[in-house]
Amino acid sequence: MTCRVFTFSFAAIGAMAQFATGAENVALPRPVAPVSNPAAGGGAASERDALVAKYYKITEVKGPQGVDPQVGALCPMPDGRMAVAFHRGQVAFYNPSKKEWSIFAEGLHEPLGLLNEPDGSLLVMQRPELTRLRDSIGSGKADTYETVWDGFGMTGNYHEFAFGPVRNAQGKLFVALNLASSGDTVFPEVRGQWLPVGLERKEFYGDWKKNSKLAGRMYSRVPWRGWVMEVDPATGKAKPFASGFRSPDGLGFDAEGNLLVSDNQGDWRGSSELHVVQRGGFYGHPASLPWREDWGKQPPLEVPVEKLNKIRTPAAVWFPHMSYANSPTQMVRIPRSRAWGPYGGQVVIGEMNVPKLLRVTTERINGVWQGACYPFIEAPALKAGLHRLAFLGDGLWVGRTHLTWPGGENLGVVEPVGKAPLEALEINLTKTGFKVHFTQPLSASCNQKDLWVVRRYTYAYHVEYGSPELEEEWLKPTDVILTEDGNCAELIFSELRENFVYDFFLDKLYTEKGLTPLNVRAAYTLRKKF
Amino acid sequence: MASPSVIFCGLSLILGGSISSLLAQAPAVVSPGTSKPEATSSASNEAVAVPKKAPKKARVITLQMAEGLRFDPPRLEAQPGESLQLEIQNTDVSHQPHNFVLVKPGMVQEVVKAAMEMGETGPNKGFIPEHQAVLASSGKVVDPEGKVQLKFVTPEEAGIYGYVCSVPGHGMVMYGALYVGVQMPSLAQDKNIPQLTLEKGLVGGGRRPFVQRIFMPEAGPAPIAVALPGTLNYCFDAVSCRIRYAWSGPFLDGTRHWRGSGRDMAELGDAAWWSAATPLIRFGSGKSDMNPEAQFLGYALKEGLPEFHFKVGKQEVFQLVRAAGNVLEVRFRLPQVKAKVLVVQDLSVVLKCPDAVERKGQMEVPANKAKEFSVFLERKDAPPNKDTSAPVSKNFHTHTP
Repeated sequence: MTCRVFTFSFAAIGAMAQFATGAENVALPRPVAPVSNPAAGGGAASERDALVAKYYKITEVKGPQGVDPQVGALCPMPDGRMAVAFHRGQVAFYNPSKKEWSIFAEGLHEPLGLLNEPDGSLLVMQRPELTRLRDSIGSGKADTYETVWDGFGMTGNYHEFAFGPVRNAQGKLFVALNLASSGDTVFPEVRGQWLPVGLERKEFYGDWKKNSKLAGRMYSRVPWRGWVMEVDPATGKAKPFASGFRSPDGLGFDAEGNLLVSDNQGDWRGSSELHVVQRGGFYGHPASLPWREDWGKQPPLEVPVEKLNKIRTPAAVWFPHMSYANSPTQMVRIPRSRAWGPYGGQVVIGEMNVPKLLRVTTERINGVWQGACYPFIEAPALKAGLHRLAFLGDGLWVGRTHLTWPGGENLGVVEPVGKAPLEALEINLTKTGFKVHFTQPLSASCNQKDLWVVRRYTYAYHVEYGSPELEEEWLKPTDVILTEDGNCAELIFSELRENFVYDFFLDKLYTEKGLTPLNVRAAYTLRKKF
Repeated sequence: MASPSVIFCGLSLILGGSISSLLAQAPAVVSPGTSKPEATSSASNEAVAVPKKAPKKARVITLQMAEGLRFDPPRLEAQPGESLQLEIQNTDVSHQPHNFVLVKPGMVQEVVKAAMEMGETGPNKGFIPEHQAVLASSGKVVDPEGKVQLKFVTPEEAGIYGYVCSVPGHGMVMYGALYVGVQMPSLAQDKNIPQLTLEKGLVGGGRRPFVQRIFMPEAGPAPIAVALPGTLNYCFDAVSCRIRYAWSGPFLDGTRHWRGSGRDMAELGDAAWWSAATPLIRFGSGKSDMNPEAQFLGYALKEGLPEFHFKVGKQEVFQLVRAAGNVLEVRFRLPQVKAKVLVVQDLSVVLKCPDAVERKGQMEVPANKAKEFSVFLERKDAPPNKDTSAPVSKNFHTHTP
């Protein structure tokens, strides 16, 4: 879900359609290749659809009749149905073989997460609480709505979304709580203890146009806003897990079970981010800090950036703003199946503003998480607003929403129909550069250095909304070594810089048969060198 | 925000008579003060006749680009060959730019697709594609809080002409329909406008009983609204674990809350006739002002009625509200009652608890009755108990224009 007070620019909109075109920034020394192949010999959206259709079938599923078709949550059920939560509070099951909907629950408040439990109940994260839905008499409808955890604060601010839950191998749940937005004030009555740090509460009921600037663009004035929490579903007890989040719409795990959380470009977020989240970590947005036990009375906005920089863990992966993602959403693991071939075990993530899914990979170098993002399935037929993702067998389901932001409605199902296209599968850091693995062998002549271009830039960590690309440079490798099988290219660079994005342009590559990549860019966030 | 259907209630239609011109050839004007006055795209169509000039007096219609990616009103009605002057205003509080593109019947999504294909030329052209189906447009995007005036003559050919915002990401949901010489179906039956617009109005669509969690006035951030069979509704607060108020008549209008991103509260179908200052029952000696913390545990649906489950201090409470005509019956179950149970004395309503006895000026439920008892509430000026069908109050949205 895009989660920001909208500062919309045409540049941002222009980027939405940039898969179809060449240059995205005329000021650059050379035209920037598109993130994905504009389709062989053309740029039209329908051509892109036709190209992507060679690899993926995309079908539409409409929501149940009479239900606002904005999807808040998806959950694949063991019996082959898909559970779907909708904006206005319904949870419904879809039976794909019968193509039938049945309403299971109603009346929930902005449900944004669903998780089936081993006992047959269904957990749902709604705005005010984590709830367990049970059908105790087998009627097909939930008859008990049991509160599992509501021990977090609510001010009534519209931006206080609640995300999750996801469950780790030990059965613990993780949920994430959005900050409030200065786009609005708070209700007269709040839930939870009001934080006596920062702008005085009475000012929240004064001239908000004026006072909102003093509250912080995004603020946390009731417990655990901006935190990831760990919840024990058996006892309903919750513990703070990690802080520093802004609008953490997506939670998931990598193949090793590490918790992943996505966050949206905005204040303290130069570009959208993926974090590998560990207990006790602080992930950069300071509004949540005063809820730490060791925090004094210092308003978070008064903490010098240098101090924050010392205690924060930067994002493992930046999603370069506009060119890769404007508003990343949920991530899920791709099944290790024949259909999904080389991508099995990798993580796929959705995006709100453009019809695009991305992949992400992470690795740990000298104790620091970092990795890359790759445009994956990008086609107008997918439609925008790709808020929720879930695999049901080999079908990748996408549920769309918009609220008051750009997006879409209803659901789509993406299925691979053949061999994986040519593209970068994974990028790994080496001591002297990068290894880029491909889904198909490159032609032996792709070892020419001129075919490889990388743009390097970084983003600022600051209170301002977003960041331009800073210290941008065009790089060429000093050497390219192709493996004998053509599946991996090692690029050598004369120097490597930490905390920079290495944005790879792969549009000039080809296979022996002349096939060019379906997606022609990939961005590695280098945090730590070997 | 006004109900979309209200806006064109008062407009009288100008009958076009025999004067006609195809819309595509009518001058589409962008008002002075905007960046580039733009002529209508000269869409070529072999069926095109010689354009006629628009009559001087055009009917003025205000069309808002509103929060939640929608046009307000979502549909317009005109005669063939009628001269219209659209005052297009971007009032979207989420501050997004929008455009307006009027298209040939059935061509909304084609034009949206064409706008997507504009690539980096899109922003400069306001995301308005050069497409033969485009009949008129705002010529550029209308910035937040901006306005554009568009004059045109409706097509001679009767039909349902779509209008859409073709800014990428908007067109899937932000569209409407101009009915030219065609009878409009009822709003609920209209397939030419987005479903979101169709669903405005009553939460639960009039079904009773119905439970909905949503932001509500005067109720904290975690209220639960309940529509009871008949005409009564109440608001339960899941923070303080008590009834906050009750009202009669239509249930709730959730449109404003749901259309936005959750900024606005739902609106009650009628003013509350009872607002409770305290919980209906309390435990203990009655001397203490101690207000033990309440903990909400959820609810079970019993024939659709929620039985709320919560703890007040250590005391577990189940509470189910039923309606008998105009009387609210609040049924309490206290399985493990240990403390003294006192019923509040609320003089703003007719409050009865047949199981309670008066002791030292307090209403106390004796221990042998406290496991299960009811409190009955009725408005003081209650009309005689008669028909139970819901009256529609004046301030409530209705479905027909």
